[in-house]
Amino acid sequence: MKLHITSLQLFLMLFVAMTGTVFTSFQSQLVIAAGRDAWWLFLMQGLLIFPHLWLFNRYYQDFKWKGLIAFLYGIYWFFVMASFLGYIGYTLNVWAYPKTPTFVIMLLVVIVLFYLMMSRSETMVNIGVILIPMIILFMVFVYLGLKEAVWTNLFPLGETKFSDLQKGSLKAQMPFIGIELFLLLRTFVPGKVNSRKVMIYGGVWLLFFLQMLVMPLLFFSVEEFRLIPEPIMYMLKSQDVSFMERLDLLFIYIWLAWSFIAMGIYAFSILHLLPQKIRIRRSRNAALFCILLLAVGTQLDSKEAVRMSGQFLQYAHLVFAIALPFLVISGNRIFGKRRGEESA
Amino acid sequence: MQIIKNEFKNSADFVVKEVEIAGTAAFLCFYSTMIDAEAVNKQLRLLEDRVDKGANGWGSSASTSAEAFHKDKLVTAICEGSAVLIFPKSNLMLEIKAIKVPERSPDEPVNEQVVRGMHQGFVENFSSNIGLIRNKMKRPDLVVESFAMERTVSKLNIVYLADQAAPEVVQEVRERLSNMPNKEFYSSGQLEDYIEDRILSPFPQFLTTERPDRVTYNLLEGKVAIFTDSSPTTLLGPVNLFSFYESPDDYTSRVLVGSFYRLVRLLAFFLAILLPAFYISVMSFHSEILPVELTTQVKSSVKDIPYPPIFEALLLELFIELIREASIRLPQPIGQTVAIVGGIVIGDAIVSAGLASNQMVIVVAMTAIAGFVVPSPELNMVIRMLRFPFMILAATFGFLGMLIGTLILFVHLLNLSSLNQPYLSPVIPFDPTRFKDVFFRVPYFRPDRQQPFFRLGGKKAK
Repeated sequence: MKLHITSLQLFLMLFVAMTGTVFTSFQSQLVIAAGRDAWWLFLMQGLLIFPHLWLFNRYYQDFKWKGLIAFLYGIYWFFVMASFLGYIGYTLNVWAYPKTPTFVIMLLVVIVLFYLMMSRSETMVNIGVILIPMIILFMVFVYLGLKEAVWTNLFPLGETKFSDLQKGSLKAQMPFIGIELFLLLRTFVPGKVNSRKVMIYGGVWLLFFLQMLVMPLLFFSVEEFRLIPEPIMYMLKSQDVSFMERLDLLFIYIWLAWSFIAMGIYAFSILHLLPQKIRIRRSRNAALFCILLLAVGTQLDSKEAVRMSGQFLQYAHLVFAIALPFLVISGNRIFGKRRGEESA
Repeated sequence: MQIIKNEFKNSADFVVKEVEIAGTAAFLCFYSTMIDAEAVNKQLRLLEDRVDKGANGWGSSASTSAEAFHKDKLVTAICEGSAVLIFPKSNLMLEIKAIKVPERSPDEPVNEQVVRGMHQGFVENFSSNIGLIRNKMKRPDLVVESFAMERTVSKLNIVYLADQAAPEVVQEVRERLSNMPNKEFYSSGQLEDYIEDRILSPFPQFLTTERPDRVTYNLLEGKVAIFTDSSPTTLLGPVNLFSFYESPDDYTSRVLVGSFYRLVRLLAFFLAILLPAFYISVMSFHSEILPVELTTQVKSSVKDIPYPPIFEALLLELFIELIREASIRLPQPIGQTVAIVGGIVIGDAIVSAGLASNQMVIVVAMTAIAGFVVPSPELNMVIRMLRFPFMILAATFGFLGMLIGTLILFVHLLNLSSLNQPYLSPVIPFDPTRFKDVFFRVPYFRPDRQQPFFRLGGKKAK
């Protein structure tokens, strides 16, 4: 029986997958490239999510998930997951477990992922709900930093060179990673999805990432961003609250839960790309998948590998979220129409 | 006569007598330990009168029924406590229901006491139990369905409100009971094993109660009650995790007070599972999370303890479990004494001996109290058991271990269902119409239908 989800479940899955890992780190690269202009540059780029999702929602049926396309996206999402895993291993090693081998941490992540993959589809679809209170708690923690915000950090604008803005535009693509999941997840929603809902989702996404960028900008000077690869974590670490000495330590586990679930959604999507004959052997698929993921993930857990995989994903995202959907949808529409005319 | 006796293995309390009813020879069979002899004699006299008068349907009355002789039916009727009159010539048998087994009064169950409201409880007799419910709910849509198990005398009864319970849920219960193998069972726990969705889950998938008022308001919520004929314990389903946190006290107390205590109970769920693990994590891995002022105090308290926090926690938790087990097995006044002596004297001695810190005693005591807040004894035991793996995970990986454990727990709860209904509903999947009932005691009691089967996007999913 085909899986059916509601539009609300679709947007929750998409939000978790898109925010999952990058929201802690995209700020530094963007601010280093575009300086104080980063926030308006991101705002401009972020507005593109509205037409992007609208087009996906309009033409998703013309994007056929089979053959080479399914294979390419499967490989791409697998690499996204492996780089997430490597990043999780690296970050936990730096922030919380310097003496624990990264492999052990990754193994734990993969065990949870395996259990998630063995669960029924309803669990994968709904598990994002447990993040909602965590996200609210996290936002409260972030906003505790407002009392130390320096509003003038956002200005003056327009000092960045055009070439740097171009570089910044590329970095601003990172929060969009995962948007192409909409094309697959949308097929599980029966009937039409109202454009208004798509716009509301786009607004929530944009507001979330804009806050994640503006808050560290208000907290740190532009020069400091060169020293702090995860500004949100440093921001929480620097905050003085009476009930806890290290807010960042609590946050890191919220982020980790977020990343686990984001990876679960990617895994769910990859499993749905498998041909039906292979898909039925669920436990074998999940075990093989997790072993492979662990093998690749352990190769991506060094500082250099994390940087390289992050840069690779920026370019890969342009191909898989923009170029390939455009080509496939246009191709199917043009050739589909011709075939229709010929058969008529 | 000997054939019948052989059927009952010549049991000493099995009686077969040759009698004559209005000039017709008959055999009267019964278990002498189960029938009310006076009532049987009275029925026999009435029967003779009816036969003498040539009344139509002479064998049928409120406590007698006549039918063609059948050996299996004879066995069932006698095992149920009826006396049976066999007429060999006409090949008829007449069942006289005159059961007499000792029955206690419907006292309030010891482990489900409430402050205000009804102080009654079920007994070991289904007829008395359903009488208690009918006395509270005088409505015609209260339906009782009985399931007799072939080759056994155990009977199961399901009770539901036809206008409230979802038909697919009732059908699911019927199917599960019908598909049960023909085996005798003696407790509701054995019955649960057969009809649960996932037997290996530690979480109960039926709410058990011995309180008629608890059954009543659950029936009004559209649940189905399953009674065995010999146990005061009733199974209620489908349930969700939050059903176990509802107490009859919620509905007899003030709105705000009831809501407050329901929230406190839900908070206790997390405290009871995670508090010792959190303390172990902080002490073993993440002491930098504590404010500086507290760090000094905590460090000075634990500096003389020779063992790691996990050892302290396991020692005290096991000690608490021992006290609990001992106080259950002992007579009530002694049990209370043991609990006090164990809790205060030995706890203090452990701290003085330097085996555990003061903070650990506080944490373990708070955890124990939080665990006992749950109104359901089944869930209480699950929670107490779950804190051990969490403690081990926390001692091994700190907060990361706790996170792994929490995620596995949530995934398990999401996978779980009770009679195919999601276990975390109405929170996941989100149902705004029932959501507030989970966290608050709403000002009026609004019965609602159960959420239908697992549905995604309005369609039944695989």
